Amino acid sequence: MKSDKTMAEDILERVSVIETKKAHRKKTFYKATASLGAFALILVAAFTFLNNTPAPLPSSDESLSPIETTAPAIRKGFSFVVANAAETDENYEVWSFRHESNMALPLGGILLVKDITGMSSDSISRIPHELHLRLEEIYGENDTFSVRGNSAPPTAIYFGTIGKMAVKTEDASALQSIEISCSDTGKVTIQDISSIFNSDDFLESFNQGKYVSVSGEEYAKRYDNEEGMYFYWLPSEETEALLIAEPQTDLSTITDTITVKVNYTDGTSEQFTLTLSFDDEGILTSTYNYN
Amino acid sequence: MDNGASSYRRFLNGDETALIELVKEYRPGLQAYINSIVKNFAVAEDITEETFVKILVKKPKDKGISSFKTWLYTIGRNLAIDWLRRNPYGRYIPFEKLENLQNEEQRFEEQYFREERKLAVHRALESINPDYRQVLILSYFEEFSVEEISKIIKKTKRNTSVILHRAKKALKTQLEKENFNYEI
Repeated sequence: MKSDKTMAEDILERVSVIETKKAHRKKTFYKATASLGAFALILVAAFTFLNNTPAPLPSSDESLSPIETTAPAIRKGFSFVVANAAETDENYEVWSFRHESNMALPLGGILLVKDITGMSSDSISRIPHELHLRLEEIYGENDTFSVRGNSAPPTAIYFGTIGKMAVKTEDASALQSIEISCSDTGKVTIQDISSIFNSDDFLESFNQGKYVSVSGEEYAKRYDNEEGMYFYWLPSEETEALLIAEPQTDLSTITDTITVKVNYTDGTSEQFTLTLSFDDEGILTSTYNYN
Repeated sequence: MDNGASSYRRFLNGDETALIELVKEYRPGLQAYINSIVKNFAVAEDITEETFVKILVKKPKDKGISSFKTWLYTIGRNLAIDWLRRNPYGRYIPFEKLENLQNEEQRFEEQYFREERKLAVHRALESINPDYRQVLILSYFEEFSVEEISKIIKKTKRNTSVILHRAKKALKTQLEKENFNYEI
């Protein structure tokens, strides 16, 4: 156990590293903004010169930061949030992708399928831990990791991810329902936060399948504004059976599209998709799309 | 008593010694509370450290939380829940380190709970509903009010009172089972 003094020193060191990274990021951001601004000015000047007409007045939208756009915003304050796999310095720097489309790598991950016949129980119990280490090797240390799956001889199947997925709103009263579905080889699970402490085995609190939905009323009851509703992806029972029978299956054949549809009480709806594909070693490529 | 707010402000104004005061004052209770959620002593220590990092990096925001201590425990609880969410299998601990860790945990408990009676209550808490365990630690060991507990566990005051009442009843039954006659 660390002494109080050592813990205080470690805290100070970590805070200092985070502050330095933040300052660096700010500097890079301002530099990029300044360069973009200068480039835009040159373009406007060139345009004015070539057309001999007055340059258009800048609209108020030009004050937006690079992650904001003039694309239609989500009207009811809903967002599909994904902690980006590349975002490593602050574990809860959750990115809201609600205005973006075709964002690559919102989620990093590894699908592990391993024949565990003859392995000792200690080695088997180490598998989730080793998968976590492998994730860190590829993506760097990141507290948004998650390892899910199971080891049931003869095969262990785990899906480890860096990044997290959630849907959240600040106004649940405008929400009719949230539907989450998978089109291909997977299943989605959503977690009922409120039941974590009410159940000795909180795995029981999952609602899972190829299609899951939560009504607005349920959302308001079970999820809060800060956290939102988390969800996860895992291979479906059929895919799992296939992988158990054939642990050598080429993992690049596993693909899926997760669709999140948010329906509002006024009859309108919005939709986000996340496509997942793997290489033959199970390394995930994911793309996010708002449509 | 300002429950750590002045030390926190001093740290934000550049006085690093204030951090050691905060850690000394709040670490034991916070770590015991987090341990009651994650049930893993090593993880509870990591999350406690993370909680301090978080409050120092994020800086204060008025979220309607009445005191520094309530805010600290709210963040600690959120991080603990987040850890549970990410780690349904717990954290792998090599067998050779397990015994060492158990001894450390025992030493920590003896220091934190000091009196034999409190230690007995703490051990009885191990076998009751985790929801009850949480509120009892906050109320009995950390002396939070019902209102403060309701803010930490994100429930209404009325709901928190009901949980606390049931928790005390469950603890009493458990203590009686263990032939420990102690009024709480």
